[in-house]
Amino acid sequence: MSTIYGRFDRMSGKVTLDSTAKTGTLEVKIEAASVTTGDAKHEPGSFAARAHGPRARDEHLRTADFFNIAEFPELVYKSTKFNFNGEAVDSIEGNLTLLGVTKPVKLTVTSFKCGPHPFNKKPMCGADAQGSIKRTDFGMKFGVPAISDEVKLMIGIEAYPE
Amino acid sequence: MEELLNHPAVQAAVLPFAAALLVAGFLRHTRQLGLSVAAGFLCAVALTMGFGFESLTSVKKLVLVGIGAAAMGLVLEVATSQPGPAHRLLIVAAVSLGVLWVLQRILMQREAMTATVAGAAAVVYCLALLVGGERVSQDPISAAATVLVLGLVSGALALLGASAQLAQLGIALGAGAGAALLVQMLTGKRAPVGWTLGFAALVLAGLVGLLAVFTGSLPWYCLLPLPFVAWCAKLAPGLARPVWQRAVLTVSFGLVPAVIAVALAWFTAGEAAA
Repeated sequence: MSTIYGRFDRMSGKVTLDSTAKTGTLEVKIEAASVTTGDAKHEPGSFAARAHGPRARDEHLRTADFFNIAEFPELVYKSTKFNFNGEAVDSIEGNLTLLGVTKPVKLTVTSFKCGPHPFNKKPMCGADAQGSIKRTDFGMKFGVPAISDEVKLMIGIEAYPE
Repeated sequence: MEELLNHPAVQAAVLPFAAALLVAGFLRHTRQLGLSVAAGFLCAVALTMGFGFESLTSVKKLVLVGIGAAAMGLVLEVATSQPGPAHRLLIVAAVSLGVLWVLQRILMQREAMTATVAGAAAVVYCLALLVGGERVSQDPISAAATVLVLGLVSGALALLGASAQLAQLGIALGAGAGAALLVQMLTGKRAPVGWTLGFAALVLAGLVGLLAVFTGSLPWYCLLPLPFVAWCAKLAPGLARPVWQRAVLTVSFGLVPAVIAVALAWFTAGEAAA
């Protein structure tokens, strides 16, 4: 009935970028257990516990119905190609591995900027990327269609040179 | 129509019960009445997760083990009317391997000692359910009542452990067993049920509970009362009573440990999430 916004609080990765050669790579590992949607715990006797039971949405998301963190603790995105528009990265093609299934996912870069950090003046790049997946493609079938099959991805990246 | 088919209660209970009732109606005079439970379970699988096995998750392995157990039960039923030591050994080995296979990827994420203890406990739990099931295997009413209660309570525990899909599979087992029980109640005759009626269903109920612990938030000790369901069902008086009375009594007795398990899960849910 509404859009649920969630995020992963823990991830690590590496991005390489050569604007001259127009190449780049991106590898991100996301800790599935760090998923949060703002519903982490239902206090006994609370409205949430009475209305939706003792288990919170974040707990449900970690079970085999969704991210199945006991079996698949990581989501991995590996790029295969960076597409450029002039000096800026326009889109990233790559593969997302979720629940043991690897499928191609294209991320559109909506914002890309390189330059000195506004405060510490160290050189850095920042980008916002968006994409979408059908979760059933990865075997995450629970609740479809009542719970949307399409999941929109919004990724923010900030990177300093090594 | 599609909206109806997508309703969780229809997927887990209504259609599996209808499918099981249909099969039970045809098989009510045979020793293969237990296949009605399998029909209900497979109906729920088809409606909820389908039969795609691109990524072999623990839940999909559970389905495969269930199908394998049903096939093994059928073969053993045809081969012998009473299990001998060799059959028991075969069952213990097959169930142990099946349980460990289902939990393999989960156990591999843990340290060796923790994984060994958890794997051994999981196998013991499933075997304990089977030992209880064998106690009631000669009484088709108690056998169906045991599977009914274990299926429903495993489903309820999975739901309280935050996994709705496992809950649907458990409830489907209960619905299937309910159909096998209802056919006997309606006809007033005990089915010539074989000793493998509960075999596959008990293995599946055990795995549903275990996966609710391993992949969900269900505390492990909530499963401890469940091996006593069959023993309590066996304690029910009135072996010579009419079938429907006997069915009500066995289900009522079997529900005692089931209610304890659900109460444990309910009252510890908030603590586990903390």
